[in-house]
Amino acid sequence: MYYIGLVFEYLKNYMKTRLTYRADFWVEVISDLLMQASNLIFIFVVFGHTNSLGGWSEAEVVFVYGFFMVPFGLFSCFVNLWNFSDRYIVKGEMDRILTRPAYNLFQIFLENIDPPGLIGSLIGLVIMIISGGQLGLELLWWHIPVLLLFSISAMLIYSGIYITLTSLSFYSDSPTGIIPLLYNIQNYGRYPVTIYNRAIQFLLTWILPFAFVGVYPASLFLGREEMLHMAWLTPVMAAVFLTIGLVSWNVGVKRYRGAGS
Amino acid sequence: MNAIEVEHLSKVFKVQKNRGGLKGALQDLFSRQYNEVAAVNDISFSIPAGEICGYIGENGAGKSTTIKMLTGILVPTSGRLNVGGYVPHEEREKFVRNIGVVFGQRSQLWWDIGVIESFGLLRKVYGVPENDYKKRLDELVQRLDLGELLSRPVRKLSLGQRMRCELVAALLHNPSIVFLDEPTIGLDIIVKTEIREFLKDMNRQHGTTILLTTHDLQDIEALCSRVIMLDEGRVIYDGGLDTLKTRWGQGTRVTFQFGTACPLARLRALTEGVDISWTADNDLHAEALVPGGLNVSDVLARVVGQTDIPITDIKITETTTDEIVRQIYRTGSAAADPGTGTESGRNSHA
Repeated sequence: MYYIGLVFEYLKNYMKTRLTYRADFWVEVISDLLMQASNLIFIFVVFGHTNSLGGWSEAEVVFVYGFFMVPFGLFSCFVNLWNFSDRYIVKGEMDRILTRPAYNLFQIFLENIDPPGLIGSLIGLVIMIISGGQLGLELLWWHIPVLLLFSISAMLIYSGIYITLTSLSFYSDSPTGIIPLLYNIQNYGRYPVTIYNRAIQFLLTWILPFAFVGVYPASLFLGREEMLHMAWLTPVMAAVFLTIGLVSWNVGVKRYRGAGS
Repeated sequence: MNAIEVEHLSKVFKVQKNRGGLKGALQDLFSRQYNEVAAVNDISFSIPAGEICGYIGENGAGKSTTIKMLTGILVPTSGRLNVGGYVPHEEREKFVRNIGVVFGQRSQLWWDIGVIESFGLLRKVYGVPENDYKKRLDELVQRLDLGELLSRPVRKLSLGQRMRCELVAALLHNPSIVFLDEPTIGLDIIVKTEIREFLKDMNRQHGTTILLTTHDLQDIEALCSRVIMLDEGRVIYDGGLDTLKTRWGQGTRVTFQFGTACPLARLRALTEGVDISWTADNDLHAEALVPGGLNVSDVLARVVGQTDIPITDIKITETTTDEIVRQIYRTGSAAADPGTGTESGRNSHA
């Protein structure tokens, strides 16, 4: 309850700050949307040349992309660790976080909360509805709770991976190279993993399980039998990767050295 | 009851050695060499509840590192810690509800929103009940005269205004132990005095334990009954400010200006039998160093009465804490008596 209350307080403050910088807000929303649009256009261009990609039709790939946008939107709204190393380690703002009576990682999430990210989730839902319609998918009652479960699980997988890698900042002075690399790899997860070779499939499934943020859970709604068991693994993977993330974070915080005087 | 207990506390940092040149940089890439630096080296002290204690030392002496361990930010390498009944780094979230922290160099407040919004957010973070919060805020706002500042965003405040707001932010949850890391840094004399007065009042009214680090010894003189001095990670003095002064003070200096020449030998003869050392730049000027135990009047009585020595001016100065501390920093130890240069053999029970 305490933590839910805090989310609302920080959101309120976010709105107050943003109202003073309105132009900034819209620039951010629009640039976000443009990025998503360019990814979609890429899919359309590819399917301008072929009818099927590793056995997946255009509408299916677009549906997977739409699903991906939902957890990704949640992730970019609530879990923003992009500038953690610079802001909290190098500038030493972690000091302030650690002297407050709320879980430190949670405070960092709250301080960097970014509600425009949620617009992406909404657009993702719209894309799923449109492409689902094209595929003639039927909306069943259990789709809604399962969609919710999978979206949250997928978001937690993302969070787990990023928390783990960000916690390296506590050990190394500036592991700046890793996060941009990761942003590149995560893009592969939006497309059906079966189009890649085995090594990449394995990587995206078990090591950096970005496939669980797109194609696996989405395949359940598409009725793809061959991935059904993988789809139901999504919440399990979420639990595993979130645990890894939190453990390495908590160990990392103990090694925090502070900055300056 | 002790608010803060520290036993054999140490913090060792591993610092990477950088070899010079491109070749060195390449070597560093594959095999790194580390130096171990003890920022805090086996220190012990305890501070009873309700005390204001000053924590001083040169830059890099380990003050901030100690404060960061006491507030749970850093995990000690070894030693035992107890602050307000908690081991800070182990039960951090519960522990910090009882403490207030102000880092003079760093802001606790949100940059873009009004001061009052920051306070409101902190109220939620600390879970302070609405009524307590209102009462406490009113009291602090009135005491620190913040009335019209509350609606302004922090970025539009002057440093003095901001620091007063920082104090309120750190005290809203009525902590029983307060850590202040250079709270008066960069402030003008009026704000400094205001803040000192405020801290003193808070200590009197609420019995708040205060540990503060500072480079401004006037803070210490105005506030602290006790001072802990640190050098290279070790405690070199722990005790009262008065003791520090009487033990290491150089006594009182009396400077004479004479109307006509007066040789040193004459002055020495006049003060025969009294433990005074005379120095002089020229015959028209002389300086007497009167040790702590003696009365200045004894010297004056012997010199001033002489009709053949016309005196144009007398100046009496006492060694300031600044001078004493500078002396101690320079020698790196409070064990020796820097005033006379003799080994006193007294140990500062570090």
